[in-house]
Amino acid sequence: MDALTLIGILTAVSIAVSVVIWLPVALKAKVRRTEMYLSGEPQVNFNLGITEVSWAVRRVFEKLYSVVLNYVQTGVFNDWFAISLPYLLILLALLTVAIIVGGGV
Amino acid sequence: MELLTLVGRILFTTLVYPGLIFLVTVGLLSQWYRRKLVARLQNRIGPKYVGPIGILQPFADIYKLLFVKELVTGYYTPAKLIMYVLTLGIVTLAASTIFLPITPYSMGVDYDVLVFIYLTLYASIAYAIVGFGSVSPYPGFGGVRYTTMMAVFEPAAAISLIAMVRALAPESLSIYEALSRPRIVGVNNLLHTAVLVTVLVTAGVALSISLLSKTMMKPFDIPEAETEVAGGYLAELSGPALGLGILLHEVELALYVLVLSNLLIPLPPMLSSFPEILLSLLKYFIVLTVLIITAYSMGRVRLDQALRTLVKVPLPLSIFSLALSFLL
Repeated sequence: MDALTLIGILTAVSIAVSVVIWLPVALKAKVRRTEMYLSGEPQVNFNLGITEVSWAVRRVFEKLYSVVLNYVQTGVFNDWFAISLPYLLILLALLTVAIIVGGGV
Repeated sequence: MELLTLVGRILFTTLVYPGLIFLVTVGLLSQWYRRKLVARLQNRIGPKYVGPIGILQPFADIYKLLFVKELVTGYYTPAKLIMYVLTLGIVTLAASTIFLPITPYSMGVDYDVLVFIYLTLYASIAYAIVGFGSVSPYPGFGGVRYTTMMAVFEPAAAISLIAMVRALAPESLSIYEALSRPRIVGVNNLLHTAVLVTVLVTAGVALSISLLSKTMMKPFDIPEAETEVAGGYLAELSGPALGLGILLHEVELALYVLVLSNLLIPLPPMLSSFPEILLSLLKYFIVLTVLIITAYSMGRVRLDQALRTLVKVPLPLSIFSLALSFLL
C-alpha cells in the first residue's frame, strides 16, 4: 500500500469515527445561549449570521490584520522573511528527500 | 476483503489501542503527573481528593465538563460545530497511532512520517478554528496568536521529525520502521554513531521546543491564558466544548511525547510485547518529566519574543539535523 491510499483511508475513518463520537455528546450537551448586548436595541434589528461567508471572512481577516499590525510587525522587513522562510525550507527539505530517496526527479 | 481487514485494523487501533482509549488514559494520567509535579515544584500539594493520591482527578474533571456542566456561549457562536472540530482533532490524533508499533495491528508504509505529520497537523488547525469560530474578540485573538506561532513551530516540528526518522530508517522514511526496527550500525563504527547521536539530540531538542509551543506549555502559552485580557482561544468555552478542548490538548501532548521519547531513545525498540511497552512508557515519562521541569522553570514570553525564539532556536536546529541525517 502506498502513503496516498493510506491518507485517504485514515481521513475517511477519522471523519466517520469523529461523527459517531461527536453526535451523542452534542445531542446530550446542555447549551445555554447568552444574548448579545446591543446598546438597548432589540435583537431582531441585528441581523448578523455566522453563516454569511463574506462577513465571516472579513471578520477573520480584520483580526489577522490587527494582530499583525499591533503585535507582530516590528517594522523590519527581515522579520517577514524569517517568518515566511520555514515554508520555503520545508518544501526544499521535502524535495531533497524526494530526490535522494526516489533517485532523481 | 483485504480492504475490510485493513479498515478493521484501523478502527481497532483508532478507537481502542493505542488510539482513543489508550491515548486519553495516558494523556489524563500525564495531566495528573504534570499537575502533581508542578505543585511539588511550587510548594503546593496538587490534586489529592479523587482516587488514591488524586490520580483520578483529571478523569473526574473531564467527566464533569463533558456530561454534567452546561455549555454557556454567545448567541452567534456555533458551539456544536466547535465541538465537532475538537472531536475531529482528537480522532485524527488517535488515527495516527496506527504507526506506533505497540500492537500487532499497527502497520507502516514507505513515507508514513508524512502521513503522520498530515494527521497530527489537524489538531493545531482545530485550535485556530475554535478561536476564529467564537464571536467574542478574545478567543479570536487567541486563535490568531496561535496561528502566528504555528507558522514557525509546525515547520520546525515537521523537519525535526523527518530528520529523526531519516536517521533511523533512511530507506523507507517510515516512522513505524524507525520505532520498531531502528537501523543502528553499532558502536564499532564510531563516526556513524556520533553523527546518529548528534542528529537525534539536535532534532530532539528542536522537536521538544516546538512541542512546548504546539501544546501551549510555558513559556509559549500566551494563547492559553484564558483568564487574562491576553485572550485565549478557549476563553469563551465551557462545559462539553471546554472538556473536549482540554482532552485534545492532553491527547496531543501524550502522542507527541510518546513518539519523541521513543525516537530519541531508539533502543530498545518499541514493540508489542509487554516488557517493551513498559519500557516505552518509561521512556515517555522520563522525557515528559524533563519537558515539564524545563517548561515550568520559565516565565511566559510575549508573542514577538516567542516568535524570535522559535525562529532562532528550533528552526535552525531542525534544519541542521536534517542536513546531518544525510551523512548517515
